[in-house]
Amino acid sequence: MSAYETAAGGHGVGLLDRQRIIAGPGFNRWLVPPAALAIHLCIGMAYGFSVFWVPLGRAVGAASGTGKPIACPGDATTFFGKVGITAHALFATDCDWTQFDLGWMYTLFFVFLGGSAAIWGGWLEREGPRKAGVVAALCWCGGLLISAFGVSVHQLWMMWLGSGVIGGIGLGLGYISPVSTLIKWFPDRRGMATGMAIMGFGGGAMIGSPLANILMNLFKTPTSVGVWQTFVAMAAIYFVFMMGGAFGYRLPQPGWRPQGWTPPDRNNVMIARGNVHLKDAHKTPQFWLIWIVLCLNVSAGIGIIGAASPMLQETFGGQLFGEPGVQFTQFTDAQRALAAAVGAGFVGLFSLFNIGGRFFWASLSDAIGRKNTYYCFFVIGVVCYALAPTLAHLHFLALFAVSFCIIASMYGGGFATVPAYLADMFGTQFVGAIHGRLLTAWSTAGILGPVIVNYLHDSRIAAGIPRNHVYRQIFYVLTALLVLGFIANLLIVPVARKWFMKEEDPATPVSGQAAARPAA
Amino acid sequence: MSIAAMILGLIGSIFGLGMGLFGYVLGGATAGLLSLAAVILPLVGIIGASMERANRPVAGILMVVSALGMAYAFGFGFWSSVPIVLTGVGGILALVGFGSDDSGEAIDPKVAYAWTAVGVPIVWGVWVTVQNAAKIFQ
Repeated sequence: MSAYETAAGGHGVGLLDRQRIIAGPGFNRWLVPPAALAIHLCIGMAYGFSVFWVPLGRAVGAASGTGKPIACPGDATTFFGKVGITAHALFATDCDWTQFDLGWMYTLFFVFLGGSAAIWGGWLEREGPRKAGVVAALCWCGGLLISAFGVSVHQLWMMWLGSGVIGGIGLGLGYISPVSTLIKWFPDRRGMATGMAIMGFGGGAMIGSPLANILMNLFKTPTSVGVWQTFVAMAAIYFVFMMGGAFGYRLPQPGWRPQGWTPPDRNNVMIARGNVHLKDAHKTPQFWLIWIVLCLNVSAGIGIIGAASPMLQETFGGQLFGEPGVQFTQFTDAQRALAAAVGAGFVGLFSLFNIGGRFFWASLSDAIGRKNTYYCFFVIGVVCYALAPTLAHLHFLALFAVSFCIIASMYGGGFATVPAYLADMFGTQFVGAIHGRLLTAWSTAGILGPVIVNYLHDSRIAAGIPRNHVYRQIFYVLTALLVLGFIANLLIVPVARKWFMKEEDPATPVSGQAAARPAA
Repeated sequence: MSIAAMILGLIGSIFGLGMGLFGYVLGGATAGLLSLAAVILPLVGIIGASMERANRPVAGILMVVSALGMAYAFGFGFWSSVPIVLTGVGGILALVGFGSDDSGEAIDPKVAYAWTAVGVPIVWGVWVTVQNAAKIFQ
């Protein structure tokens, strides 16, 4: 039975199948971005999980009535000592979890995000975005429920397994689920369309963190910090939103194009006319050059974003609260609180620019091209990082903040522009799966960037460098990363013709079945 | 798309005007310039929504400015979120839809509902983040 017969007959076509979601005539393509946003806004809460660290760090203490954290036994002064404490905390019920124990969640998130996107990207292209969205919802929300149970019985391993591993798989599937669908619906604005969805991933924590705070305050009692109840509530809310998003996905009819739109000038060699098969994409130098471009752009941003608040406090000291003569190491408790409040504001500003940059730069790339957009990231990034030590030396706090806000916008813009870059280079047919494989660059950068920043930071402090000069060398190292990224971008040329699939290649995913039953 | 943007902008701005007039001016919730802003800003949104068919980018900018201004004048609460979000989403749709000639983009309430469903949490999240970020300037 052909796909057409199956679909037209209505037998054997499941609710989640690809054939089921082929859009009918007159379908408004602007319904697809909100569906993608619904999923990305939910999974984006992964960025905001640190909101649970403080209450989880005193959960046992609160339950015992002391209200203070109860430390697990072990040597917390060395790295391996801390690992030993974490190993104990994985199964212990009588001591509290530290930030070090819980911080592994982020590693799990981003390793499993990249891994699952790379492994199941091909499956997503075959089965369609709706099925992938539903599986993502089940993994992310199911993972939250497992974590809730883990928190209620105080088992750290369940938290890691639930949200970190299973939830991380949901992150990967959810992240790539709308990419190729949006690119097919918006051939005229590939960058803007994917930028909108990926903006949601950046914005998820912006909504999820304050929501989690409200819920924890609602559920907490004198003997409970209210975290497991919050996980349950958020799993329920996210499940509704994510299922709404998954069921909102529609695929265009094969050959569909916006009314009045004509494909761009055929002389533009940076936009492929054909499609490169998933199994061949990673054999091309272009894939690895884009991998390097993304990895270096993210590495240069992620380390500083993670250290934004302490960087500002250490660099500007008392200037943050109107006492320029006070150094970071001389802060009193009250001054530390004031500086932390300003640092938190800086982090908020960073996140706004990170999110806004996803939409702005991706949309701009539709006008100026992807390669030129990445040139902008690298050139402007180099200028911002190279100027940062001078701005800090001159105590130009506002300009310093502005330059890092621009960097944050380009960090987000790098994520949002890359799907369209891939579609331009490799065609739209397997772009979701190729994008999934490319996300391993993100996982790599997630380790590389913070390691560079944290290692240099700690080693310079150990060498006795004054706190307000600690970041100077770090900025120059990050500048060098961006220069390397610029060179990698420069080397990207159109994919050789031999890699493109022939017209009669049977590898076309099922969406190509022209007569599949249109959905409303 | 364009009709959806216009309808959202008009509903949001008219709601905002009602709030501004009865809650903030006659009700005395604010004083001085803020009272004036509470009326003028919804009017800016109404003007923006009205000219949506004539000049989308300007209409979009006016609606977004109106939404941001109302957020500043009213604060972001349960009731004030209605005009702010509706006008803001209308403005964004007008901006995003600029130059668009898509098929199937006639009157489509489903698009407006879908964008409002994701727009409300986004605007709330942005508002909370802006409040936190404002500490850097204090």
